[in-house]
Amino acid sequence: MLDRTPSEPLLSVDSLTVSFRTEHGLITAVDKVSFAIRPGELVSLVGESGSGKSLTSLAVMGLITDPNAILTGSIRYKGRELVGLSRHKLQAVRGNEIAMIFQDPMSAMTPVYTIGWQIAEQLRAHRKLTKKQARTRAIELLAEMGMPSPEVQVDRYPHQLSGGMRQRAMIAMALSCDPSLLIADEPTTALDVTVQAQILRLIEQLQRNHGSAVILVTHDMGVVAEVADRVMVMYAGRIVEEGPKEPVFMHPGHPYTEGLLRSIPPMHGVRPHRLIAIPGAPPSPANRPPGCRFSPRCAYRYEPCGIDPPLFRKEQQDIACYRAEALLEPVGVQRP
Amino acid sequence: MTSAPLIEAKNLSMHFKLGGRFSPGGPQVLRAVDDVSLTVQRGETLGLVGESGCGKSTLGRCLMRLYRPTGGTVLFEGRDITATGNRALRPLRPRMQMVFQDPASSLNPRRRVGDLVAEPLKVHPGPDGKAHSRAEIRARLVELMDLVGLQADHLDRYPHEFSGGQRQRIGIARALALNPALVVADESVSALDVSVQAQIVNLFMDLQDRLGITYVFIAHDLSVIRQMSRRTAVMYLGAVVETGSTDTIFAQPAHPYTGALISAVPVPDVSGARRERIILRGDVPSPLKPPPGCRFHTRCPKAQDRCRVEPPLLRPMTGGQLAACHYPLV
Repeated sequence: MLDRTPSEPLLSVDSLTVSFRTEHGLITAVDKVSFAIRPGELVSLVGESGSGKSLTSLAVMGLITDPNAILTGSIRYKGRELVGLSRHKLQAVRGNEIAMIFQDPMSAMTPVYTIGWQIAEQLRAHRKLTKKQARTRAIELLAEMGMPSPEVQVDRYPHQLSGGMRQRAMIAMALSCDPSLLIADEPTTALDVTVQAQILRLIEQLQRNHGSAVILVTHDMGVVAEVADRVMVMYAGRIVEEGPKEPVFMHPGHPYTEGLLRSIPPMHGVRPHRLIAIPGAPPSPANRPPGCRFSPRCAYRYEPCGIDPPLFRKEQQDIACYRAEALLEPVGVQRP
Repeated sequence: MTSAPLIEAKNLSMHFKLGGRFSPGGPQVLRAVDDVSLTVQRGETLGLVGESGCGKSTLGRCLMRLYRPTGGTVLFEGRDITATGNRALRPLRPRMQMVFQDPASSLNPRRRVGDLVAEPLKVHPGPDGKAHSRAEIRARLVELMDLVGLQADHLDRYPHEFSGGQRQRIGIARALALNPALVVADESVSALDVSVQAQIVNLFMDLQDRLGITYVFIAHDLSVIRQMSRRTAVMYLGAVVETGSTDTIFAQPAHPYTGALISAVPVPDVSGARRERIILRGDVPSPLKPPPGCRFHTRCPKAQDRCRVEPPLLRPMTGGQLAACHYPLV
């Protein structure tokens, strides 16, 4: 599926840091995150609540508008720096080159206009189209999203649609200008499992047919296994593991990735008497432990973990864990 | 199944009237639960699974008698409680408790954990008919905190000081305060992060081993249902479409809806060949206007003319489970 030949990255994020000024001091939610997205690949950004995965994707979209937010680092799209770009210049990129879909379509649409009007507005903002042309294109897009009788649906308001149909309308809007990069933030989390399957298939088709790169933000390892080419696992504001899907799932290098995969109840085969849970809870951005942020919950913890681990390269995976480095020369760390 | 079931529903229905005379189109009837029969034996877990709007939560609330069902009967420990008044239900309440989805909204943020968990002990008298003394309550609180994996000094803190998983433990402690025989858990692990969800699933299972509690475990997550329950009932638009042993249902689903539901779950497995996927068309129809015949026929890949007219009844399948389908998968 994935073209392994090295190509110029579409998006490269370098040392992205998002902090917030609060009454309790500066809180760093996303901490020196770096990654690159190549054209046409589907990369999944996984993590639990508070991991910073949504903020990372909002930062790429230039949607962090909180006056107390401080954004540093670099976000380059097709070689062009997006950090510090004026609102006006950013708007030419946003929606046109990079589009985003959200968990809750109601928050991305206005309730007072029909979905057709909203898709047409987006089209007319970035393309030279007449109202009539834009409307025709909107109907085409809705049909492409698998919406039944699109010429009727185009005149309906968001609240008149079901959750799955609303999600389709939002995807149609996001894809109206053929973006090279689609950021999907938990696009199926609020949907029922049978509808989720439809939407995931739709996103896969779009990636294949339009050749768009997709960043799929999710907490569900099942969804990642289903659709992603590459995985980035975030924990407490950092990327802790990154690599192609197969090795990450078969040989997770970071204890957190391993724990996440093992804590999911199996759908087939023997039912374990107990699930292998990760003790404790993910830390809030305000109370992150020193050193390796996962160490208080980690079964493999040993002395070096008091110092923040860098990313170690192990074949195709990048792993922020001393164990990954130590595995080359095994150390006597016992599982409790 | 020789002993009497702990709780039993016979042809249970819960219809809500929406809108009055003056609403456009006149009043409508929402059939949230329609003619459901099921039994739960002592010490077992029955999993109730289905998509949003299938009536699983309403059914749970009917079993708890938080709603008065509009049809059928509910038997608790052999006693008909379908129309029992609130006052007469009170002595039974300690025997049946509920754990909710969102611990943040079911715990009063202005009260300490100790007060929240002690509330049922203050409201209900002990088994001897006398009110619990302060010393009894304190001792029970310490015992409960230990049972759910929290510390005694947590009793003096407020709910916001806890993580989601710990708050759910507090909700469980409160439900267990009066030693209930039945606990209805309504999406109790759905709002939790995966790594924490496993802890709470384990806690539910440990508590059952130790205390012999009977669970009705309501969830939309099939993997959680499979892990928790020995028997499962699958609901669609207010009706049970398949019920039986969890292992049979997951290995060999008979109803096409169950089959589609199970095949649609994304599995974190990259090793083998891709599983056969049944992708259903469209959305769940509105329970205000359920389709005639089989409720599932509008989305069913195997639907035939008969399904559009004749509603199928639950009947035994080759695997041993019951399914309501004219043309089952096995």
